[in-house]
Amino acid sequence: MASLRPRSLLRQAPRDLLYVGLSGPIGLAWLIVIVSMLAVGFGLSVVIIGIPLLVLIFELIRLGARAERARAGLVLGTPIAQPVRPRAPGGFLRRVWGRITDRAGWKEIGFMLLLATVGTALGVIVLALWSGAVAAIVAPAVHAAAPSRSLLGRQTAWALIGIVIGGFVLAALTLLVTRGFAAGLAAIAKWLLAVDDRAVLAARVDTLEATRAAAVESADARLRRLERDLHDGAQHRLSYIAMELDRARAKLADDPEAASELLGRAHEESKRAMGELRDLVRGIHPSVLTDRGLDAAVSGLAERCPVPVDVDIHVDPRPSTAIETAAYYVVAEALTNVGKHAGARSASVDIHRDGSALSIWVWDDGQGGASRRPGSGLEGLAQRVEALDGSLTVTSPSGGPTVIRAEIPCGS
Amino acid sequence: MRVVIAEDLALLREGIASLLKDEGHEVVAAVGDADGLLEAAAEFEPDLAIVDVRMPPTQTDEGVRAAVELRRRQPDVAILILSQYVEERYATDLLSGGSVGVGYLLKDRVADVNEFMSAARRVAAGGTAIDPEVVAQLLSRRRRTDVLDELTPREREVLSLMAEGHTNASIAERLVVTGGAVEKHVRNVFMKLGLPQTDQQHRRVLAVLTYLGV
Repeated sequence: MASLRPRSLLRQAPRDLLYVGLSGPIGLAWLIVIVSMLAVGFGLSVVIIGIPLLVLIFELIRLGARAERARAGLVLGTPIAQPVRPRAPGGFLRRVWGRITDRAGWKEIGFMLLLATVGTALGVIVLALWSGAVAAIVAPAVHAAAPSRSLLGRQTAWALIGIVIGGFVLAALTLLVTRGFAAGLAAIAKWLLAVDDRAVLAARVDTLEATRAAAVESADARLRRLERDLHDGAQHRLSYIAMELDRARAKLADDPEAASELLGRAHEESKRAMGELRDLVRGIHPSVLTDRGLDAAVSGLAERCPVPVDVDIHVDPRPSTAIETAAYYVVAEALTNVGKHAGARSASVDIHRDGSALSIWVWDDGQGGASRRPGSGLEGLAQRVEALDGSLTVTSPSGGPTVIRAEIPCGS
Repeated sequence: MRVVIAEDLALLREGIASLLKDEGHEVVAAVGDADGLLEAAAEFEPDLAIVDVRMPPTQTDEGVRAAVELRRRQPDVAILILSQYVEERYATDLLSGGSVGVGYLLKDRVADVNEFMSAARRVAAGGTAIDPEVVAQLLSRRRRTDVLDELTPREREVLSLMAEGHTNASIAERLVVTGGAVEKHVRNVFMKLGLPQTDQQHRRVLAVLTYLGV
């Protein structure tokens, strides 16, 4: 920040003037916008128009605050750092609520209101002072051209010298006033608009706590389901096989025919157990995903789906294992639903990596009605995706079609 | 025949070795990883290598990579890949070097000894053995294009068995029909799919698999 030494004061003066001077029209514009929107909101319907309008004002203010952070760089030397806001999970109302309870947001609003009122006033004062000073300094030039009967034309030479000196004194004072206003306004901007690291971290911790709890919960649910499948399937088949084998051994000498039949049954049952275990193990983690990546693994899923599936996958470079696995399960769950419930005739899967996110899109032309009910497979998936800072949305109106979209950030 | 087994799970390795010995074949080497397979194949020049897809050190798809490498180094060694799951991608890799003396079966098929041994013999003799599940996946994918709808159910069965690598005689035996009937079905299938007729077994398998999109 510039000091009060004359040289640095002069060097900084144009930027100070630009900052405070522009605060006038910018603040006035915000005053008009805010007042008129509030008037519209209260004038029509607080409930129907009010909430969307509130959201709109919040969004506008957020944009305005971004601009102000940049503009404060004129005075502060460097712009105020813009906050990075992770997209809050949940639906529209939850996001609105998040906005309402966001302290940083209210501070932004506070600053913008200040800018709209005090900022406007400061801008007008500074512009008026500079205009006066400049007018006084250039008075002799204007005097020559002015009609001799006008106020300026009637002044004597001494009076003109006095006016010019007065103009320079006013300019010096205005320089100081501008400096003071600029520094003050920028300091307030910094105070209200600078990122509050602790608040950001606190919000981040809240999100992490929630998604971690959900991830643990969904992992537990998966383990319970696995336990039940093993218990009801392969485990009891193996008991049956052991029993039949033992019976066959007992009968082998006396009744070879019965023994052979028992062996045959045990053999059939063991093949069923193998098939079940194979499906289970593949469900836990498909090895082709590790070997060959998403394209091969998802193509395999599509081929096993009873409904024709169009697959379009462009994922280069490969994302991390956790992200690949989550993406795979999103598609696996979606296609399982397509095969089981949707009554669909066709489906398509599109996975691509653009910039720093992996986006997954699964569509089917079934009867719709899928949702993220608590305890549902889709909810478990959403939790898994959110644990990776991603988001999952399900659009499935009754009558279809169903679209499941997931975005997972994956660095760059 | 002389066989090399590459399988890292000892129980299964011993089981397959016993099975082959019971049938009067010679297991010249039983190894637990891909490098061991390539070394044993170079040393013993076996008729057949039975290879598990998943082996140390990475436990991913070493078996398939080793098989492709073995095919490059010793094209005369027939290769039968055993896989825990059907993955079309593995089958595609394997068949990219032709279908002569190539097999790709689910590991579970060892539970049906006769089926397994007949597939192993077929592959060792220069034939092909593709797991019914792989063929089913290929067929279900092709079905979307509707061309296969023109086939009668019987013709589709014949097509599946051809894709698995069975000969006319073997198809006739399985469907319990005469050899002449099978020949007629085969001719119809080739005609409807617009494939060139051929009497050579491995050309026929390749034509069918290529048609199915391997």
